[in-house]
Amino acid sequence: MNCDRCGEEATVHDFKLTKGGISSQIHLCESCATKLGLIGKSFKSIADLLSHAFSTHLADADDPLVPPTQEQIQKALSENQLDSTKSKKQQDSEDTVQDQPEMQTPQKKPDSQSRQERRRKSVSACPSCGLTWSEFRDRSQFGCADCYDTFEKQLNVLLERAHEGGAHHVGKRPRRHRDDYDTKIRIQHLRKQLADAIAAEQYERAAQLRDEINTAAAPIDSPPAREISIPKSKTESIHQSEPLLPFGEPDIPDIDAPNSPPLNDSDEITDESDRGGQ
Amino acid sequence: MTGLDFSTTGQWLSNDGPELDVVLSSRVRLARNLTGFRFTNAANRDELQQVLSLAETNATRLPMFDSLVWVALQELDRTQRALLVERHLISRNLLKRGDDPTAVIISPDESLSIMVNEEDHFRIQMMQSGFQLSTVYQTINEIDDQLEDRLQFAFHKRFGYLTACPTNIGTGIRVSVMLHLPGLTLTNEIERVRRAARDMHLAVRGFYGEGSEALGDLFQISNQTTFGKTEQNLLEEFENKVIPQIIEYERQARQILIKKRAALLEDRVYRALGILRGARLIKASEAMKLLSHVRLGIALGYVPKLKPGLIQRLILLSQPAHLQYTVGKKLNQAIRSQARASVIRKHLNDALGDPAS
Repeated sequence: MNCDRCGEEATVHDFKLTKGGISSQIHLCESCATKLGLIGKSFKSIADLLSHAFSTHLADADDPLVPPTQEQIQKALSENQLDSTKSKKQQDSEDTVQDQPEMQTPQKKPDSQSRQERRRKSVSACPSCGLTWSEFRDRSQFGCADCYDTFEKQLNVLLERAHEGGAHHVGKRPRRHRDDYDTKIRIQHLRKQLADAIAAEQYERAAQLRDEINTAAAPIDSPPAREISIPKSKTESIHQSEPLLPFGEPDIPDIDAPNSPPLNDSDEITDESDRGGQ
Repeated sequence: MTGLDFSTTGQWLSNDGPELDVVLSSRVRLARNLTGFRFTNAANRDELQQVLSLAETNATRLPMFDSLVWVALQELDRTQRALLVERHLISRNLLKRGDDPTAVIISPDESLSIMVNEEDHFRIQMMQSGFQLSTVYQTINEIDDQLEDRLQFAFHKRFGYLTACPTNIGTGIRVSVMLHLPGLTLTNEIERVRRAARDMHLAVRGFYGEGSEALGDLFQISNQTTFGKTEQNLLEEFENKVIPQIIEYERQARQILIKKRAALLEDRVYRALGILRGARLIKASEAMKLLSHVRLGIALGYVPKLKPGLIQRLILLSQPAHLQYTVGKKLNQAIRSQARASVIRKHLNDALGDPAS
């Protein structure tokens, strides 16, 4: 398969998932994927993640390894707002927040009058702390615990990108939550993820999820997920073009060979060793 | 500052941990917030003060430590705050916010630090020498349980432990190791490691954290995913897969260098040692570079009298705030270079014998 951009051999495959399955697929060579920010980039902050999501706007301007500045991100984001096709999804998700019921909350609430004022100004503000989604995008931080319920829908995409597709906490729980935790809800959630993973042919992830379901379901009365058959596959998920750690077998250049790349401290090497130091 | 001695380094640094030839230290951090309070970025001074009081009442006594030191940042001057940053006991972020109600709780051996009112209400951090992540996690997990007996941390059924920034939710855990990778740097393999780490959603940073250069061939690798995996999964991946491979790869690079470039390698080590033992003025960047060469030499057995822990202590003692503390007054750059050269020279010559005598 060839790269969608330059026609070289494609090694990076990315796709967008919808409820119905895969909506669009992208195939790129490593160099184009790096340029577009699909690989070779670590997510340091929300700003980084957001910029990643709109990276086509930044693509050719900068070294992909250098995180874009806040200004660049803002610019990219505002350009993006003008681009109706791309911002539609985002607007949709922002609109849905209006329909969300106000959450019951143990959170300390600021003075209720100013809160209502704020809510009037911005429909999708957190009922507890008044933070809006766009304020969150500016500062990358939520104001309070209730923001997570308020902005749950918008968060999904971002969380998937930031946490390798993670959608549900599976780790440690405080003691007071250990007994009343609803295992059934968690299993439902995992099953949905499993179905998505199979639809997306992410078999390694699917196998992992199946095991998680089995572990979680063990104490309660629920059919084991092992009945779900997961096909064995060659390539499963996003950018698996190389083995996980490509340096499993070291390929250290022969530094004595004439064509080998110079060592970092090139002065010392050419001077000392080539002049018969060996 | 009561209870902390900055003339020597934290005691945890003197315990030589496993795989010290490549791994300097292992660190685990947990992010926690109290229910009923807005996150620190949205909280007013009064709320921050309340969080601080709750911390002082409930988090300054833990069964596994005889004593803990409570340090209110407001009471420290800039140099004292900088000393804590250089020792990795507080973050730069907390230093900047030192005039707000913030504090840090520190164990006498400096292995534990609990920052209060940083980005999250609590940032619990545990450090140990060498490669020992599971041990560190076990301890910090126990501390978390003990705190949780007295404090209520914000927890969400779906999102897990809640944090100000969604990149930390779920487990709230950050696992990191500080690696010395001169072999991979010298053989130009380091970029491959960086790329591989990034593809595995791991962050690679320099010695001073985000955005810093990899001075002295030191690299900090940490997880970015905190949500959708268990702490055990994350640790296991790190401790049994990723880091051992990097360690092995670094060792192989060193062996190849020994085989092919023994003279070059020895020259680097002894030349660096010569400069450090003789220099009267030395800049920070040069000191880091030369100390890295000496550390490699120690790992390869060229300098049997020196231990890798000494290099780590020298890196710390030659930082600006530590130099200022040692000299006892504010230093300009030239005097700092002199003070740095003097500290390094003294320690190396104490261990090896004065070359001039």
